[in-house]
Amino acid sequence: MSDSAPLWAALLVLAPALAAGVIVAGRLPARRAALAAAASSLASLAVALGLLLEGPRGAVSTWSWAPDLFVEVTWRLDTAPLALAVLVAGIGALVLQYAGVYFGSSADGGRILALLAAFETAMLGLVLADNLFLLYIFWELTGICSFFLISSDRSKGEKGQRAASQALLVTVAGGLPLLIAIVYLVSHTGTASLDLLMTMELAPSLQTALLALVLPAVVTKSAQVPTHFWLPGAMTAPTPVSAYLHSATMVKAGIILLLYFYPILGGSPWWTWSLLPVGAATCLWGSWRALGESDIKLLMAWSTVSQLGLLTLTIGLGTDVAIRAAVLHLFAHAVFKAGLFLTVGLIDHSAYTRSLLELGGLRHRAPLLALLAAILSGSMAGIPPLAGFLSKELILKKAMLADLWVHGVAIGAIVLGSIGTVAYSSRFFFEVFAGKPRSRQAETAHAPPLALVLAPALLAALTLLAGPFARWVDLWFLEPVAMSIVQAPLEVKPLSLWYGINAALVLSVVIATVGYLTDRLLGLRFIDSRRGRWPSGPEIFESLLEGSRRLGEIFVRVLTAAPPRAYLALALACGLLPGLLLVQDVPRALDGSFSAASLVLVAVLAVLLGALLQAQAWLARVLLLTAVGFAVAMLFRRMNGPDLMLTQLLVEILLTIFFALALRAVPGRVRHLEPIAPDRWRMGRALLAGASALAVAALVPAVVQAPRSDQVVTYAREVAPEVAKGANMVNVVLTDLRSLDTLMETLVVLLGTLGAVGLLRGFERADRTRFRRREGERAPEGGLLPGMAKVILPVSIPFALVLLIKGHNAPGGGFVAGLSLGVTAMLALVAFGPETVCRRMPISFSGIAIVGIFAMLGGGLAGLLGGQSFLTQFHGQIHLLGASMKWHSTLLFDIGVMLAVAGGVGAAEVTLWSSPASQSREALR
Amino acid sequence: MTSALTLAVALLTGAGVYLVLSRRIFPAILGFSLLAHAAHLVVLASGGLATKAPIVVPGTARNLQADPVPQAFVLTAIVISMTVTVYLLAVFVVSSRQTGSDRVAQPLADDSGRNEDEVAAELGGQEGSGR
Repeated sequence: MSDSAPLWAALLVLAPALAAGVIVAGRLPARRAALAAAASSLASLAVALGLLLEGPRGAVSTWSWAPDLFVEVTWRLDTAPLALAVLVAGIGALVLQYAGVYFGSSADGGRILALLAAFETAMLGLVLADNLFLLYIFWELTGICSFFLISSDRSKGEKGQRAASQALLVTVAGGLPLLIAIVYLVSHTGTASLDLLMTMELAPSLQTALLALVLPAVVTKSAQVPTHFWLPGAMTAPTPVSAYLHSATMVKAGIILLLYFYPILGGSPWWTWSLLPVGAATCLWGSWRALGESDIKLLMAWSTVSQLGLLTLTIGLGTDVAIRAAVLHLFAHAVFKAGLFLTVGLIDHSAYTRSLLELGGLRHRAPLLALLAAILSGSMAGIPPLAGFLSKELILKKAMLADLWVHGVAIGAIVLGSIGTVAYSSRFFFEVFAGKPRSRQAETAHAPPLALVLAPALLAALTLLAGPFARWVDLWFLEPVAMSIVQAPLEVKPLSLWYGINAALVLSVVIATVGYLTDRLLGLRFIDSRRGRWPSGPEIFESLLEGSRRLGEIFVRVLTAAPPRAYLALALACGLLPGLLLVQDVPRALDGSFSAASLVLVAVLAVLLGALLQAQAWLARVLLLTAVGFAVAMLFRRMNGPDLMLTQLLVEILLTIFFALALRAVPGRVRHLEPIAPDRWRMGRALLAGASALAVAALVPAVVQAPRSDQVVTYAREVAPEVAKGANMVNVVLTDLRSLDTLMETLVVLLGTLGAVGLLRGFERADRTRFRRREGERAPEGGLLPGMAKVILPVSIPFALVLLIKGHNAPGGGFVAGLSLGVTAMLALVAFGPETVCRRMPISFSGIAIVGIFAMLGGGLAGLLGGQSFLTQFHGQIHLLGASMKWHSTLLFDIGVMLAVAGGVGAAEVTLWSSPASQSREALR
Repeated sequence: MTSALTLAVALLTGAGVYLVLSRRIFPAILGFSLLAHAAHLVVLASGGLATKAPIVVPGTARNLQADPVPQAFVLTAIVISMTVTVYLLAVFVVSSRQTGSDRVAQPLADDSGRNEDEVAAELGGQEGSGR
């Protein structure tokens, strides 16, 4: 097993998730779902125990994807994580068994059980993760599972959903600083391994900074004051869920995080002074509120808040021995509180009420239940010889070792909180089971079925046996776990029920007596009397949310007050006007020489642009734009870019037709130019345009004369004929030297054209039936155009191929060939109509585009398979029938480019062409 | 050549920005195309103004040849800006059919006092009449 430990660890974590998958896939009913989930928990439990028996082994890696970027799946197979995994999987198995019976034939049962199992995986991952980012992912996963589980009781309706979103928002808000802390920690130390970090010494100031970021996560997740309110709210969840998530495991995540970070951050002077007050306040407030609840489930929830506070307080003492006490109490509390929640579920199940005001006298009706409740609530109250007594006694003893101030605060909070705990424990037990029934439900209560009693009974047995076997608990469990957490040997007296008469024992006796007397004297007075005096936590939270929504509305109103072009103008001004700083250099940089040809070009451009600004007719503007494009193509020619010229010319031809098609599809009254008020900002527009023109034009002399190295040209010149076997350097750059770039850019072309297709289709809902319906009116027969097309089409496809193949050595290439195919397709569409074209084509245009992308990728992967990097191109010779022909894989790549461009353009053409023309024909004048 | 190029870029940018700031969608698309031209020319100019095309012919002095890298960038940029123009045209077609107008949308604040349903109903009515 030693070599396979990483795999076992992964199995341990994933087993419940697998069960969840099976449950969902098979739509298993609750009972069978529970069987699958509990079995997977038992498997996890067995693996965890097995790994524990093998002894600690530090971090192991299951999957290392990008370790330099800290992206790897590593587990910490140390004693403490494994012991916590045993706790999570063990209680998980019990709760899942219980839940199977509890949900019985409920329709939602299978779904809730699947969620519970998924949560178990998240929790196991959280306790076992070594990589901090992995830990964070599981941390948030527990919150997400909790969200769905809290709202899983559909009968609670909106109340459940509100409670669920509150819990999620609060815990996620706390989780974000944790992520920042992790990033900070990792960037500072260069490792994301918790195992490694625990052995490092960080500067105290860094520890304090990190503590400030970790604390919100702990406070929110473990329901500490002031964000505790989500936990009682979460009691809308079904009882098994509350038992598992909101008492035994998830709310412990914050405490576990604190324990894990203790060796890293425990040296901060703020450790005690931040945790102690939070813990003390939570402990006291939880006890106080628990004493005011009549609903026993809410009583347990507030009690959990209080106990979590006690744990935080104990950890806040900041000594190794206090950590040992906290570990013991964490386990003891998980066991007795899970048992108590399950017991509450049984009481609800038996008497159909959870109100203390209606219960009573249940001991006659359900004696076994009464026994279990006595043991479990006795453990909560800290009555010897139960587990709760052991841990509380230990906490008291360790608190007394602290400094004077800490000592005072801690002991005060523990004693007062514990008196409350004893009081509400005693109230819970006596008011439910003793006395006389206070309602008909309580009178007619029935004993729960044994299948439901199994889980709480096992938990009660565990809490009962811990006391007498304290020595063994210490030797086999507490000492190794605590040492694994504090990362140091511990010199302590062995755990025992009896240390002789000492101060802690005296305090325990005082607590128990005062607590019991308080309850007996109070009776059922003051219950439910504390509601409504102040706004409750959830109410404050809701109003904060509402406030932030209002604030957002105000922002939207302020920020969107101006018309869109105002923002555009602002952006242009901010982006372009710094270019004006370059303007002063322009006169010096201009050579002033105009060759006759370039002078004519610029003059033509000026005239065309002037006309474009003045023109009102739509078609005239389109044609002028085309003419401008041709002029720019000529400029490219003058700048010695023959490929660019070719590309630009083809693009202009295509765009002209696209514009015409678009105008055809626009409603007539839009084309008639509905009147619009004179533009008040005309001058402003012109000024900004002029300034932008200056700013951008100033770039030209600057970049032309900027010093540049000719390394790239030299390299391309050398490499082009030798390696890439091509004379056209532009094509070599596109298909070989920078082919990844080209791949991405081709994808962008495809995204744009197919995006246009999707936009139009989504609006038109155009489908093939539309083509058929419109077939009669379109598809002209005979005439000049089809005749021309019949001549041109057979030539144009070979022409494109020639452009493609020649492109490696002469102007041309994949983009040019693709565009020329686009023009061909357009000609065919205009001549024969989309229906005929689509019917004749063996494959749709978007299909062609996809084939193209795969051709590009295929060429790239071939390089990868050859042991080179992705998109490495290669070449060879083919001997065929005595003739030898050179080939190069860039050709395949370029064919891909051609097909992708042609397919994308063609798809856009077909869609735009088949979108219905507007009624009025005279609009195109 | 630098002077001619500078002038051409100035003209294209000026006309482009003026049109992009229009209140109607169609001129804004035209303006976008012009701005794309200007941008292509500037990027191309960054390769220097050589006198020969970037095609290896034995015997060419190498320092006379144009830099192929900006040319490759601009080549793909031309195709991409065409694609974007096609996309903008699709947006234009859809929005003009929906609203029956080629005006650039009015700011949200203009809708204050009306709830979303009213606006949607109005848009729906226009769409119906637009057909």
